[in-house]
Amino acid sequence: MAETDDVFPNSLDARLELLDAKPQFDESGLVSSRYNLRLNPGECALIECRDMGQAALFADMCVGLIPLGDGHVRCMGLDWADLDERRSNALRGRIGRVVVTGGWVDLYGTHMNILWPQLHHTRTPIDKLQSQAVHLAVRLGLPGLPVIPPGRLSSMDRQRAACVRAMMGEPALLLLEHPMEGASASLMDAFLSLVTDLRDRGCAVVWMAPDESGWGDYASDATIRLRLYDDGLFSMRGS
Amino acid sequence: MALFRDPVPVRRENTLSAAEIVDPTKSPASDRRRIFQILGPLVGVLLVIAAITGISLHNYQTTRKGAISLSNDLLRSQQRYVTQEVSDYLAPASIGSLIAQDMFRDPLTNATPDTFMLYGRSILTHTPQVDSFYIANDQGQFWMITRHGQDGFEQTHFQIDSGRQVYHHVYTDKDGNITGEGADPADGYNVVTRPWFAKAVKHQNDPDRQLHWTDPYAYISTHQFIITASLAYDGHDGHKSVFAINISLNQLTSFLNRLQVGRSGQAVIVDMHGQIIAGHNVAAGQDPKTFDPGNVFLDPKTQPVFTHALNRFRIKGPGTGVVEANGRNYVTIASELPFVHRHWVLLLNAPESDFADFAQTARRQNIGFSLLVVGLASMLALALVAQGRHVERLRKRLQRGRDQIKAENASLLEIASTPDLFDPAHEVPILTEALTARTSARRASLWRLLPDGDRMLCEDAFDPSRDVHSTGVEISRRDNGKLFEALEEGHTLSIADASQDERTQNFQRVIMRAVGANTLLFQPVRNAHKTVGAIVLEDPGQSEAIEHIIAIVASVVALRFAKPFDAAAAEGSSGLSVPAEKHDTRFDEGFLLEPSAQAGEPVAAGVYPQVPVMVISFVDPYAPDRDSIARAMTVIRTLSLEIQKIARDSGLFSVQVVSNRLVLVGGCSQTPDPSAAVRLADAAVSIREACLSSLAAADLDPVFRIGMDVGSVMASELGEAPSVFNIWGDALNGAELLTGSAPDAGTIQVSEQAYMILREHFLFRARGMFYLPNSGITRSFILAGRR
Repeated sequence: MAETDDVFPNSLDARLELLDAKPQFDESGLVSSRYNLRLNPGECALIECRDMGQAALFADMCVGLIPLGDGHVRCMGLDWADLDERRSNALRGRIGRVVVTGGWVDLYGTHMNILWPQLHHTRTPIDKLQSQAVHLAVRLGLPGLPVIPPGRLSSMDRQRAACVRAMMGEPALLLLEHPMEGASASLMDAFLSLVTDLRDRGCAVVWMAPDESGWGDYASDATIRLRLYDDGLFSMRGS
Repeated sequence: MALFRDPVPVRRENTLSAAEIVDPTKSPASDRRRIFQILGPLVGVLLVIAAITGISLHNYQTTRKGAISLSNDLLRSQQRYVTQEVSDYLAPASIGSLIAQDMFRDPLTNATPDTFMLYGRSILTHTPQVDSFYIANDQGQFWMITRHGQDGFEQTHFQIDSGRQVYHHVYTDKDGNITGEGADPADGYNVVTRPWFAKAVKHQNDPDRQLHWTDPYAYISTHQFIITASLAYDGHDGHKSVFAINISLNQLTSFLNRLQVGRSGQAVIVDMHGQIIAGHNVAAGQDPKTFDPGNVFLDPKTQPVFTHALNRFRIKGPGTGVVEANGRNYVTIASELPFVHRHWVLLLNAPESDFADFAQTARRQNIGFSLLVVGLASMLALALVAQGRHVERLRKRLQRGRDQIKAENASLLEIASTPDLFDPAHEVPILTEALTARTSARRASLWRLLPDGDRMLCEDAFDPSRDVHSTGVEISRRDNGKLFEALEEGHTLSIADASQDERTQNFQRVIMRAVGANTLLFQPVRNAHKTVGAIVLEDPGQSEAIEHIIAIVASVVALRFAKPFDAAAAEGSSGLSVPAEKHDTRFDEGFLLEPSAQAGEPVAAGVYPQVPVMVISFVDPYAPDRDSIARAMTVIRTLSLEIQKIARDSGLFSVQVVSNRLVLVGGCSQTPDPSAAVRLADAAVSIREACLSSLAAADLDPVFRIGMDVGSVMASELGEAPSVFNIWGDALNGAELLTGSAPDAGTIQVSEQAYMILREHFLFRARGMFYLPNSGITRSFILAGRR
């Protein structure tokens, strides 16, 4: 039903747009400088950031978790500041994220951790979700969907599971905080193949890593390469 | 990026919000507005109904109150009138007795008291309600005068006649002339003990109650209902005399009967015990012979209103009230009749409807009008809702149009941003994809007219439901003559049922039937006045807005097709010919170690329940130049020799090479053989060591993974002379999956079944539990080494 307050998802809209976004330092810990970034569907930003903690805060700002002193952060044309809690939570359901700290609930099996976001946000039947999760897990080099608690998985397997979790559903935006730390070439290949698939379907990707080795050969396929410093985002192209 | 691109083009459709529970792009305010749009008018109508009902109710109450107070006033005046009437009716008693006590002071003797008789005759003649007079004294003298017959009077004297007590009657005419005499026995009569005498004497000195009224009683002989007023006074001789006047209440009853109270009201006079003194219809329906007027009481059954009113009077005293009985409301009024010492109560009632009838009518009319207003308001509200929905639909249509323009722009942008758009050597799948997306056609295809003009070649067809592109179909002028004619004329064909149209009949059978399409849109593509191809849409929808995109795609296609069918394709046509030199097909069995070599007997075809299977997978090394390829080939050759040797030494059942993988079977027998699994695992460890050392020696990364499973397989000889032994089944699938998902290069991943058999002989590291839809939760382990 069309109403003036509704926002029509437009394929020309940016998936992620930071417009002079200036976070409040005292509330967030993210340095209060101006951030600008625009990612259209299918685009990929590789961001180098020495301090992954700072990168995580930057990702938090992208999903509207950090109060802004000034400027706008928009996702799919929706300004986080304009959304009530219910709608912003729903919008976060469209974002896949690999968190550097893991973000696992160890009381339940990894499979639950992987399926929860989609079970919460969508009405997709569970067997469809299961088969998608198993498909992603196998492609990322797991023998199936892991069911033991995440804490008991090896760290590489946990990383694989984190990627599965981030790519579940049809994310409109991927926020990857150093997802391929210490990955083997084959895992990297599988991961890049999945990321490329998602980009082909219009997903925008923000990939953060402490140094260039974090994304291997993918640098040439990125739309934009940036560095995240204390005083903002800086282009790396040509450097 | 192309390196990582999925080979199958994926549909660029936004399927994000399909299954979402909360759509973040939808504002909750719009839901609220929609609800208000429907509920607003309805609530309005409800409010109107409530207001009208309230007003009507209030109106009715006010009118009713007014009507009741009006009827109370009316009743009150009626009551005053009745009171006056009754007072007038009974006045002769009080006045008469007052005069009498002055007139009749002479001592009573046996001689006829002429003054009394004269007085009596006079009053009886002129006052119809007076029935008779008594005069008596304490010496037992008793005189009475009453009417007798027509215009006659009867004078009665109580006397003792020859020792007997009798009433001596003397009949006179109206002038007092005696016309006859008679006597009645009166044994035991003593006037002094009569109530009217005794009470009057008793209250002689009580100024308030000097005039004593008896209870009404029936005078049997005359069927009159009588009440006696008596007054005692002292005669000149010092004896106490009592004068009494009897008043007939029958006259009062007939007066009340005549009285009009409202339209159908009634009046009644009762005493405090409910005995009826006079009133409407007191004697109605009673047998006149047995009727005792002195014993008529209010009947709560037949006179509920009066009973109720009397009860109220007893409690609250005089006043008005409303009583409900028999489903109707009655207005009542009750008041004392003050001039009689006993409490006589006048009760009047009248149905409320007599007075408030107009209020009832007005209420009915009000309800009618209200219903009319409510109906109109409802119609208005419905019209408002309908109008709202209509506006909403219009807005949606506008929005659809806007969305369509946006989507078209997006498609245009997508087409425009496609690299090498006009280069015929590059395929541009986006054209057909955009066509299907915008026209929602079942299939869209681009056909190139080949230079000979007799054939059309499908360059690209896109089926969105299966998400596949296809190409290469050809149609010729021979089979589709009419279609080619239409093509050359350059007219757009839009055919609802292609199977019925002779131009497209054949095309429908050959091409369209495959997807079950029936509607066809055939758009020739022309460049420089020459037809170069056609755009075909099968089952297109949204016919009103598809010209744009077709025109855009047509212009792009025209430019692409304008260039001659490229040289590469022409070359290809000659290069495609099958080489003349033919080799014998090789049926070499791909085994490094042939099956069942040691047993010497052929393996029977069938299902084997517990076969250990191992798969070793090598990642193709990335070879930038020929030298390194040659080097790698050498390494692979030595490696294969080593693996063959290890396999033979371990006594494996078979080792088969399939592309870059090795399939090793530990043993193949119907009875489970744990030692076969152990042998296989032992070989795995040895092969891993061999691979690691030889790859390291050649300075190559360890690029192999090993997976092992124990489970059922199917085995059979396939083909004949030569036949090939082949196995397939669960165990092989499991081993393949475990190989593919081995966590690191150079690791051996084994299944839970294999682990159960091998755990006593080897060291394992658990990887975890994993779920697979077909096999449920399984565990997998990394084989670390021998114990």
